[in-house]
Amino acid sequence: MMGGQMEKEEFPLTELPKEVFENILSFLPGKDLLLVCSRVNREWKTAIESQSLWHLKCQRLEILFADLLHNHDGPFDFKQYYFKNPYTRNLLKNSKALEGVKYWSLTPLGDYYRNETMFIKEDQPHGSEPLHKFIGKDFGDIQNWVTSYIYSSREQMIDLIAEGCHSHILDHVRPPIVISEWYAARFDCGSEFDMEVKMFAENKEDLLDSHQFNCNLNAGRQWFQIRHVFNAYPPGVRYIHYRHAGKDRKFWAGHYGVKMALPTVQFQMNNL
Amino acid sequence: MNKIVPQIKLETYEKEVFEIDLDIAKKFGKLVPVLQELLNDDKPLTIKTINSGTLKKIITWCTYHKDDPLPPEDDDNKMKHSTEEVSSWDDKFLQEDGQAALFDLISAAHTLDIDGLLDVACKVVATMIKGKAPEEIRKVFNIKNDFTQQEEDQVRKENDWCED
Repeated sequence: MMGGQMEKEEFPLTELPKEVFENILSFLPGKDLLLVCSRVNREWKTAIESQSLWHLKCQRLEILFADLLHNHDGPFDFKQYYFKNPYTRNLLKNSKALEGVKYWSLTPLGDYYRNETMFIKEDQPHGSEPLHKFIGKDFGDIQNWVTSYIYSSREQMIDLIAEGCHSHILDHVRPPIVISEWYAARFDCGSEFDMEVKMFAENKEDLLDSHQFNCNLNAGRQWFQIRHVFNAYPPGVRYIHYRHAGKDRKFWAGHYGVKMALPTVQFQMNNL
Repeated sequence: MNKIVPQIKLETYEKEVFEIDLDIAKKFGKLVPVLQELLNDDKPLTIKTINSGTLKKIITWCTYHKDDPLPPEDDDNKMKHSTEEVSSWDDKFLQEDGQAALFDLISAAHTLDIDGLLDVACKVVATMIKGKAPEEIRKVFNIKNDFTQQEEDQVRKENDWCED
């Protein structure tokens, strides 16, 4: 090791023991490592390809748990797991409505319902309380959708394996899966709200478990939350289909129907 | 000198002998198994890879952090502990003597197995890297680029997927 033999004013990082250099790198954001640091030179690139670095990063993120590593066949890809991080995040895309209705396709219910404008993003919850009064500020920027006078339904299919889940976890550990969503009517108009979550096998046809919630909301400014936990779903789940829908109860032109925010499908990992 | 405080003796690269209070020496993970021996021994333990300036720095750091709570035993909490921000005292203390000194300090903290110091010093280096372009990083750490422009672009392309 270096000692104080010479007076050179430089910092030969890669001369540090491998685990020390990795420790330094582990404090940098994952994207910085891949997009910036790995271009510094060949030594840096090699260090950033090392699985032990990504193991450490996963530890720092606190996303490793015993079952994940114990029952895994073959080498575990910590780098991929770090970026996919499927067990501690909301698996629905565009759950905060910031990208409008991107990833949320209209449920095919027939020609009468095929109207994109009946279920849109709202710039703010007009006629209801501000969202953050109920949700809190932990989620950062968040917007909501609003429906109109024709029943309108949007849906999203989650491909669990593509999101980074492992078949041995889905089939043997089967951690609880929490689904939830916030919904509200307006002070001047009641509304209807539906949500339905289905779990499918690999063929996308065999229905393995499901949950439905329907509600008739009176006029009012308050937000409510529906929350359900899938605790005992069978092995073999590979897809989760999420659908939410609604309309107003007065058939008013404009967007006076149910408002929806932060639909969530997330594993509940207590033993992390 | 106050003789009541038990001390151990360490000799540095420059053959300078330091007397270190037992409380401080306990933070040196590597020395823990041999502390009793060192206390009884009048001959100093020689650590050739550590210079006097670095050892002084380490003693100052350990003295300042003497009363910090011990890191929790279980791994999960230890990890939480190690992602905390660097205090402004630590930041200034670790950077004030320049890069070469910081490098020596990291090597020494690794050799002596001083967890808290190693992590905080590594974090300081990470902040020197953070937010910089590859060329800036090379400049700061005097690193030679052994990629052609084409190769560098290729590395960037290979890793594009993480941007989503």
